[in-house]
Amino acid sequence: MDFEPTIVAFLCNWCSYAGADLAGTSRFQYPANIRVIRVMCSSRINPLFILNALLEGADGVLVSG
Amino acid sequence: MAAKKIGVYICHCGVNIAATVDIEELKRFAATLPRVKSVQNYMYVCSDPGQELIRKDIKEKGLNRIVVAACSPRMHEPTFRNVLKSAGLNPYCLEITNIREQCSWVHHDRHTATEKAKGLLAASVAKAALLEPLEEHEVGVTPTAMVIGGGIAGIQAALDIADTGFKVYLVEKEASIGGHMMQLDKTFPTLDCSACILTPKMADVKNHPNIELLAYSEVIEVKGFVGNFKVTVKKKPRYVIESICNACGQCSPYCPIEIDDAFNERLAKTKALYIPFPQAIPATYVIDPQSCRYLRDKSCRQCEQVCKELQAINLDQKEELVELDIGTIIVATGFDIFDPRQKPELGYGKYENVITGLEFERLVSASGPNQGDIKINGKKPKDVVFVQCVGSRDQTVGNEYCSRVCCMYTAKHAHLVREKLPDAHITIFYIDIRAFGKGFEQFYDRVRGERVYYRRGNVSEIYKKGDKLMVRAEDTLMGKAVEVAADLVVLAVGMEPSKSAKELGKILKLSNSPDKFFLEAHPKLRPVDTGSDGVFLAGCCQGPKDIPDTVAQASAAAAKAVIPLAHGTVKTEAMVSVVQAEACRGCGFCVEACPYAAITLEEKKVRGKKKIVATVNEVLCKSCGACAASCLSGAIQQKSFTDEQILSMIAVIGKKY
Amino acid sequence: MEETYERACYIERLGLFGCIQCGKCTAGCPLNYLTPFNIRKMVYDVLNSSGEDIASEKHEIWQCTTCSTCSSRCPKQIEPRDVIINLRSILVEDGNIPPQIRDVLKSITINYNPWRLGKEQRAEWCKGLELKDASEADLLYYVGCTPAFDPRLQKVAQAVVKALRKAKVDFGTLGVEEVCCGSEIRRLGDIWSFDALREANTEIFNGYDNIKQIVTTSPHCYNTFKNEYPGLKPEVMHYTQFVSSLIDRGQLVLAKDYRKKVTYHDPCFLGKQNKIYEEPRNILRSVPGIEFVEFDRNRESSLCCEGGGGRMWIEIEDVKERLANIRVRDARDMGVDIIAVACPFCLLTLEDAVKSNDLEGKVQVMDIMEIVAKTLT
Repeated sequence: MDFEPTIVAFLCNWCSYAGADLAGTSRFQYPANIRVIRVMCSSRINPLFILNALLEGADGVLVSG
Repeated sequence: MAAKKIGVYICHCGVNIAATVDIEELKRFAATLPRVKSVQNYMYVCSDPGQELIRKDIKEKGLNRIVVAACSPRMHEPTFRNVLKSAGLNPYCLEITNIREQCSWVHHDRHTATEKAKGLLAASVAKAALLEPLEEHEVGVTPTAMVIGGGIAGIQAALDIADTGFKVYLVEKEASIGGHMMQLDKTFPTLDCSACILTPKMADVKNHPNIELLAYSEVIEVKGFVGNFKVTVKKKPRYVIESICNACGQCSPYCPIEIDDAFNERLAKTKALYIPFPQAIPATYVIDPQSCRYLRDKSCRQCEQVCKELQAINLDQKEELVELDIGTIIVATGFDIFDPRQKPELGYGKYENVITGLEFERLVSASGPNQGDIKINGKKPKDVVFVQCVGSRDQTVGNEYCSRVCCMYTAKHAHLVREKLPDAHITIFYIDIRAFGKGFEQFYDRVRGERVYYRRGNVSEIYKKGDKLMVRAEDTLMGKAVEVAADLVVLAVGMEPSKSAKELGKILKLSNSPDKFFLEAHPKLRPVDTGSDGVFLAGCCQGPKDIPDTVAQASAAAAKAVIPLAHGTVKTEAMVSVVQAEACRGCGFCVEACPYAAITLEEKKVRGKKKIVATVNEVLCKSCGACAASCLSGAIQQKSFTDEQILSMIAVIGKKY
Repeated sequence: MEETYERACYIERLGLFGCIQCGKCTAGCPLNYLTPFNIRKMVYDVLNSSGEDIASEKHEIWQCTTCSTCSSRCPKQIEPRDVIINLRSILVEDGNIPPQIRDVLKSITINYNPWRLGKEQRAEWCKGLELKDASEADLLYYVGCTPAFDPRLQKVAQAVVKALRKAKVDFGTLGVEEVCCGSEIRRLGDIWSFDALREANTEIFNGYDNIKQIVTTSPHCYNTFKNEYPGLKPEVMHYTQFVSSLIDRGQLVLAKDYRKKVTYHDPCFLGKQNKIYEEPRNILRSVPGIEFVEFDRNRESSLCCEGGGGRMWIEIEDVKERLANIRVRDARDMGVDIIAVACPFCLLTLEDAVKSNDLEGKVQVMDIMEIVAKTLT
């Protein structure tokens, strides 16, 4: 079976999260293995979160803001 | 602390979610999650019966944390918060799982979409168990509005706000208000004279006691938040003192420098000391700093001599910065016309008898350089060809959209040509005619009846043959290319967002839609709101529109902008940061991290001992959470986004269920 | 059945459903000035038919010069030109092609050039010039089939050599090892031979570590190397770009006066398809004594000479007029001495038109490099 990475994404509510919503409104299709956690600003992201996500089994972390 | 009892509500959203996510499976899964006491699904959870479902469960089952798995929290979070509130629960005991925009709408496969929905829901439930009730505070509102842009949209919005009794600043970057509408001759489909319906409104702006006009000015900085903006306006030097100049016009003829007349679309010349047009508001002359001889090399002060008595001219005037307290802002920055030089095959800029629609407006206007005579090189054109969709519906120039006014303004142009040149041969090349507004189709019928040849085809080439231009297009209804000779070609140029609005968009943190116009908060339900609270949109800055739509939208924006002013208070952010004083080391990292200067170090008594601790000003805090990320001891936390809450989501969101 | 499905997919991939039938393509199509060839109708027809018959009975597809005016102007950015090329591919696959095309395609596989001349003659043009081998130089001068074999165009290649030597450019050639770039072959629809040529050329070019740049004589070779050869290591330039930069850097000095009135005919593959408009003009304006004038229809609006898309080997029947005729008569009316070109095909088609319009001795067609060579001391 092909390797399917699990990606945890931290998205800023005001830009990237809104962008992900817009992708939805526009019905853009993308793989389902990305899981989004909404934050109010990408500056909220503590390095601890990224390490924790990897420790919990994520193969990649996306921080976007 | 009472035990956490969580209720989960899964929305079908008609088929929007249910067609892709297996609701029954998700429901079964939700029931297995810790602390979940109730799981319900419903066709539309946001509807009244859906809301009632939640209210009833809160009351009957004693639920104290609610998870709604539905559309984006950016959509209905306020709605569901109110539901909690009306059921007596703190509105912040809510978590929303986005299984529509970020799940069912972006994945086709039912199985993977359902699996993803489970991960997202598990994360929400985990966080919900850790949510704490939050308090909302209110602050006062500065009872003043600002409208940026003085075209018809800005004028209408300013007048409406002013009529409600609130003060309004109208900021216009040009020397006069009026905008593009002032340049138009007649307006479609009723053929009202544009100036006749606009200039009285401009006079109203000048005379209204509640309106303060800041012409020749630009907004350069906006700080604060809804109800309490601090706006810095740069007043550019006019070099003519607005309060003294009586627009007598004696100075201008003595100015030795001629410049292109922008109001007349550069079809005529004016002086470097000029008034944009005779009905300008404010009725004050202005000096073009780029071309004035004194301002370039100090060599001429002719105008000062002429205006000796009044002394209205001040060549040493400096720009001025004004800081204003503002409650709400309306953006009405309008549009620029498409530059047809980007379509070189149409010969604009190469042949002088190829002109834009806006140039035609000046050409045909009684107040224009030709006093309304349609003449090119002193001769009346016999053959006039109009080209539609120039710079609209055209991906090669990045403008995919229809500009919505060109079909009708071209029909109007054809009518005006027929009126003034009864024998002219008039051809309009079009792709599709969009006559969608009130009275449009009737007007289109009328114009066709005036011996105007509508030919379906997109012009691909304009070239010179003898003393005529040849306009070449395929008449797609005949299925063959045709060449129509022309003495005058008018390009129906479309609209683009005003170039100067780009910078303003950054200042106000506005988003743009893919067409580069400003993005409204919701395309259907919040068409004049923006993503920035207290900032509203009116007119063509939001997308191309005609005058009636612009005026309607301006009034809508005015009504919206008045709501916070009339209310007198706005709620402050509840999800602010909070410091646990015992854990704080007073290092000040958070003070540096905070972009809003909301945190200070202060001496406080903690458990009887004096110590330096970080202190958050909740009014200034914009709840970004940067402080929490910078804190080494975890002492400062953002409410509803604490480390513990986010870590609880991380622990479950990526798992396979 | 599978084949039918594949062909339908072929068309769908091109996004023809985006077409709004505005006719911009047809009205801009140079061929449409001469023949009823209607690319919009063709697109409509292809969109609404499927299966085996999609390409049959469409003989007019061989008229297209692939100048790409249609594709560059299409407001919905569909690619009408590629519809033609794909239809040709279907006919090539079926073997349903005119005999003269068959000969060209055969020549490619045997001789690595479309001119049906033995590959051993490829270096005849530079006999006695003692050019370096590609393995010894920084820059490869890719001559191209037509300048290598056609006696008229050999002079252009020789002029290029003269200028490069004058500017002390360290260049070499591939001699008889040079292989056709495949541009015209691809446009004739033989995508299979094109793939083979592309692989061969890529291997040759990438094999020389010393070669940093490739300069071509023809815009057609330039275009295909630049846009249709993914993974090519050396930088590709048309000679107008390279020579223009030599002049700007002062490395090539055009010293002698050349008192002629000159206009420039934009090749479609250089101008419309690659937006190279200024460099050729820069070279001409650098010639001392020259009076440079523009055709009314220049740059994006330049007329096609009908030399591209394999049209060098296809005669259109029942058409008396040619675009090249219009071009040379316009030049005559402008009173120019010389039409400067930067493409082998333009040179041949326009020179033909000069002869057939009895303009010999009045209007002359010259490659820019021939003019440059005349001004070198």
